[in-house]
Amino acid sequence: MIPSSKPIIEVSHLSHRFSDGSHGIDDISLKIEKGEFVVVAGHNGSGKTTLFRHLNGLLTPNTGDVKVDGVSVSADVLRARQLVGLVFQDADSQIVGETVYDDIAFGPENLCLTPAEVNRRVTSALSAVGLEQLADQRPHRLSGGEKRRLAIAGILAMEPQVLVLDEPFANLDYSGMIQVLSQIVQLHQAGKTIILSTHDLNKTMGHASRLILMKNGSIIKDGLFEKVIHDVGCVGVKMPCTCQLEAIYGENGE
Amino acid sequence: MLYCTRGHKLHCSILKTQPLTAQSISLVKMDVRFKMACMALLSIVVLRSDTTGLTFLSILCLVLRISVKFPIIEFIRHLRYLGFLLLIVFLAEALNVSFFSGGTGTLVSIDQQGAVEGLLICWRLIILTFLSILWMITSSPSGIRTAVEWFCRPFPGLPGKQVATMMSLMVRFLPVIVEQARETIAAQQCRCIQNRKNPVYRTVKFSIPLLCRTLKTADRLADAMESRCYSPENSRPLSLKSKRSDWLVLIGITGFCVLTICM
Repeated sequence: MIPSSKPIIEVSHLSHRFSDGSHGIDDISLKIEKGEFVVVAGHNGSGKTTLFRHLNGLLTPNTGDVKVDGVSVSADVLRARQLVGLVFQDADSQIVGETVYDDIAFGPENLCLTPAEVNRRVTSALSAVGLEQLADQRPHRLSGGEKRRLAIAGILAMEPQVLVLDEPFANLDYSGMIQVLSQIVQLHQAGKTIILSTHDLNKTMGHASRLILMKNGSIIKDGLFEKVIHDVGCVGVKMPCTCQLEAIYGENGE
Repeated sequence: MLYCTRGHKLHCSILKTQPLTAQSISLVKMDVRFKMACMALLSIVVLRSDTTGLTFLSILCLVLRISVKFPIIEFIRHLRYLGFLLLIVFLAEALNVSFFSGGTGTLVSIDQQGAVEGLLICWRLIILTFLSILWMITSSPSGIRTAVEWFCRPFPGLPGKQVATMMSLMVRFLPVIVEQARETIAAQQCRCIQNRKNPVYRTVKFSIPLLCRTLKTADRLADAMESRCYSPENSRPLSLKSKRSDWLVLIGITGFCVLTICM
């Protein structure tokens, strides 16, 4: 974790109620510093995706506020979307271009950048995720891992400071998961703030610095990954194998 | 070697098995706007031509087929279902059905003039299909999108960029929807939908989940586009450049069309 005086994301008393009256999230407050690697865990419907959508300005809070780099999201949505890149769970519905190159160029073109700048950003994003060879490929011909990396590249081309990834390992085989995880770790090492949600904490152990546990739209635990990991059972998330072994050996006094 | 406007492989994605491919770099490199204009002219001529005109157009198709090295056998195999449509069109024109008074019976006979008309319609449809597929396999989707955007520009109320984005999304999501339809069919077959003899029931059970899924995909797509700052006013370049050869082809096709109509 790289400490900073001003948090990159500051959520204050955020609540969101859906049109059918149900609570999405309820009175959430948290601060995320620049360069942190935060994992958000919780069972399905615990409010992770709803929280993420508020960080990007896709949802408007009923009460409370979200600030990105000191500025309220509702005051400048476009700025928030440039600073906070959101990678959705379903990569297939996030990819909009006819080719890999066109898809990555979609965001920078929306920012009305010059063609030279668009090209620079696309080339840089392609090389960051290792998809240079597939620049002219049709997205529907890519594998699951490649699609997920393309979705990340599409966000990287916007040059955000924060990367929010909703279930980035869902529906991936082992090699696809390794590819995506190594991309995320590299991006974190390059200075990006990473916030991701997952049900499988094994994958993020050793990389993440902070763990937030959510249940029924509220944060019930927030702290250092190594400390909070022992409480994941209470939110219906499986404890990593190494922690389970530690617990057993600890009980036996070995 | 197979080429596209960026020098990469091209294929016709709407076709099912092995994609049709074009092997002529000159036609592939031709400006899409000129190809569209030529297509429009030829389509008008096809609809207005009689036997002589259609013969000339068929010769032109043959010349194009040779220059593009168009795989004609694959073309026929892929479009074999079009044959049924052509047969129905021909029969509808050629057959003359007479009813006896009092509803005692019917007589089916072949009308010679109708048969000739039917043959001409089928001939026109084959030429149009050939030209359309030739145009598709020699043009990249992004080239077509950019050309449509360019053609929309002079018309004030026509949102060219939105039309181009819609086309782009259609090209992108057609394979996704086809895949979802296949999954829905397979899932229903696993639960013995084929035992239901009522086609209406089967159609409803297939189309409603597919429609719901497609609408959900559309919702997620809209969110994803919004999160990437979607705006109709973007900086996507209209990177189309006409060459002297494009103009020469257009003039040549225009002359050919005038000649064919006048004959």
